[in-house]
Amino acid sequence: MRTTLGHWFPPAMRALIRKEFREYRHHRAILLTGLGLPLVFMMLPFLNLVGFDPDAPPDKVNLAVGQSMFVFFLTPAIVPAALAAYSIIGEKEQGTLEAILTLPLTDRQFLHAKIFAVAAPAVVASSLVYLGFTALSALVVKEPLRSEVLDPIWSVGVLGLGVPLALFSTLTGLSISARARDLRVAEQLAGMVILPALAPVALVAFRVVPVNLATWATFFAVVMLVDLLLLAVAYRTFERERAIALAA
Amino acid sequence: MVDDGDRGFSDRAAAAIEVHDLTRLFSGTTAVDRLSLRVERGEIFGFLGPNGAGKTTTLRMLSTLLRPTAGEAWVAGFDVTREPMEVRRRLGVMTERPALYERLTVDANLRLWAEAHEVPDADGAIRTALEAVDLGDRRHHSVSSLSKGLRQRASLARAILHRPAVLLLDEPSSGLDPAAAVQVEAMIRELVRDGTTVFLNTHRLAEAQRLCDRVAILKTGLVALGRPAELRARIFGNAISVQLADPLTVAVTEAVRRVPGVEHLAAQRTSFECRLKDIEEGTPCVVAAVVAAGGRVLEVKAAGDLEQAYLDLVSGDSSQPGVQEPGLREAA
Ligand SMILES: Nc1ncnc2c1ncn2[C@@H]1O[C@H](COP(=O)(O)OP(=O)(O)O)[C@@H](O)[C@H]1O
Ligand SMILES: [Mg+2]
Repeated sequence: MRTTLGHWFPPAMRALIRKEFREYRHHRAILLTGLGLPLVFMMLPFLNLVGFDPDAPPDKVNLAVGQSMFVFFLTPAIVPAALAAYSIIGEKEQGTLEAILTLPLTDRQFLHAKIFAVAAPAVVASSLVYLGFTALSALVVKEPLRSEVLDPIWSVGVLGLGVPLALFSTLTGLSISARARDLRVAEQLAGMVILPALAPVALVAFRVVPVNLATWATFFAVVMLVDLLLLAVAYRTFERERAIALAA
Repeated sequence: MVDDGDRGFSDRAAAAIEVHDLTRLFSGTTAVDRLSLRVERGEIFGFLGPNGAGKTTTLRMLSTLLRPTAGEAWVAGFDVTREPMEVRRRLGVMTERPALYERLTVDANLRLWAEAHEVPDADGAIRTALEAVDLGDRRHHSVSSLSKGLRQRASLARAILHRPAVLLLDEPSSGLDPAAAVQVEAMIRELVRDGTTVFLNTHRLAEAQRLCDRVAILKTGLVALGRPAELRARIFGNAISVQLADPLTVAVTEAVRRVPGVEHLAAQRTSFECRLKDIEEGTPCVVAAVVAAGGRVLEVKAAGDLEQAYLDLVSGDSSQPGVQEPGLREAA
C-alpha cells in the first residue's frame, strides 16, 4: 500500500500538494469560492424544493427536481476554475515556478500534483454538498418530490460525473492560467470555457434526455475522452521550458 | 574541507560541476556560446559578467530548467540532460527572485523543501538553516512581513536546508544594501566549510573578488578564468602599489629591490609601484621588507583600476593590454 502511494505520489509531489492546501487556507478569495460557493449552491435548490407545491403534476415535479440537480453538476465544474486560475498565476506572481521546478519532480509529476490539488478538493466539496442536500431533503422535503430526489439514479449521476467534470474544468483552468497574466481574466476565461461542458447535463436536467444509467455512462465516456485530450495539451504546456517561458 | 562520503556524487572522481562546449540559443540569438569549465568540490566559484552575459541561462541549464542547445554538463557527476532527477536531488538553487510564497510563513516555505527532499528531521533542519542565516526569530512570521534583505536570507536558508552537494546562487546579494550584501557573503563563506560547492552568479566584480576561490568571466563565451589574483595579474601584469605614511627613503627602496621576485620598481614621493613575479607570493614579502626598513605601510593594492580593466575586458576592447596576455581566452 505504501509503495503504491509512494509510486503515484512521491515525496516531492506530496510536499507540493500540502503546500497548495496551506496556500488555500491563507487565501480568502479561494476559501470563498472553494467553500462558500458550494454552500450557497446547496441552499438554493433546497429552498426551491421546500417551497414547491407538492400537488403539482408529475412532469412539473420531475422538472423541478431536475433543475435542482443541475446545480450539483455545476459545482464540481465551477469550483476548480478559481483554484486552477490561482494555481499557476500564483506561482508566476511570486516568482516561485522556477524554484519549484528544481525540486526532484518530473514535469508530469509537477502537473499531476497541481491537478490533484485543484480537482480533489473540488470533488470532495461538491460531493459533500450534494450529500448534505440529500440528507436535508430526506428530512424536510415532502412527497412526491422527496422520492424523486432520493432516487439513486441521481446519486450515480452526480457523484459519478463529478470527477470527470472537475478534471475538465481543472485542466482547462490550468492551461488558461499558464498563459494568462491576470488572475481575474484567467478566472473569467476558465468560467466561460466550462459552460459548454454543461450543455449535455442541462439536457438531462431539463428532461430533454432520459435520466438513466445509459445516459450517465455516455456522458462519463465523452467527458473523460475530452479530459484525456486536455491532459495531452497540458503535458505540452507544462514542459518546463515552455512553462518557464510563459511565466517570464 | 571536502567530505566525499554523504554528498551523493556519482563517483569519487567526479567534479562538482563540469561543462563541455555548453551552448544555448534562443530563437536564433546565442545566449551562451561553447562554455567549458570545471568546478572542484568545496570551491566557491564566481561566474562574473555584465547583464545579458548568459549567467542566468547557464545556471538554468545546470539546474535542469533549460535544455542545452549543444554541449554537455554534469552536476555532482550526473548528466543534466540524461539524469535530471539525480541532479535535482543534489542541488540547492537560489533563483534571481527570492521565490517565496508570500502568504505562508517562513517555516511553511522551508517545510515544502524539506519534505520534497525527504530531509529526515525537517524541524531540526529548518531550525539549523534559519540559524545559519540569522533568521531564527522570524521562523513563524509570514513572508509578506519580511524586508527584501530578510527574504534574500530566507531564500538562502531554503537553498541550503537539505545540505545539497552543489549550491547554485543567482546574484544572491542583488538589491541589497552593502551591509546586508556583506552579511550574505559571510553566510555563503560559512556554508562552504561543510563541503558544499558554491557556483555564484554575479555582475559585481568586488563581490567575486572577496568571496570566490576562482572566477570565470563570461560574455556569452568564456572571456577569462582563474583565481582572482591570477586574473588581476593577467590584467595588470602583476603590479602592486604601496602607499606609505612618510616620504619614501632609500633604505626602503633598496630593501624592496632585494626581495626575490621584484622585477621593477617605480618610486614616487610617499608611494611606489612594483612589478612582481607572483603577486600572492611577493606582496607579503614586499610589505615585510618595507616594515623591516622602517617604512610605515598605509595601503597595498593592485596597481591600476581593476573595475575599469574588467569593464574593458567584458566590453571586448582588445586595445586593453590585459586582453593580450597569454593564457587569456577571448570571447568567440
Ligand atoms: N527565455 C528567453 N528567451 C529569449 N531570450 C532569452 C531568454 N532568456 C535569456 N535570454 C537572452 O539571453 C541572453 C542572456 O541572458 P541571461 O542569461 O539572463 O543573462 P545574465 O543573467 O547574465 O544577465 C540575453 O540576451 C537575454 O535577452
Ligand atoms: Mg541574470
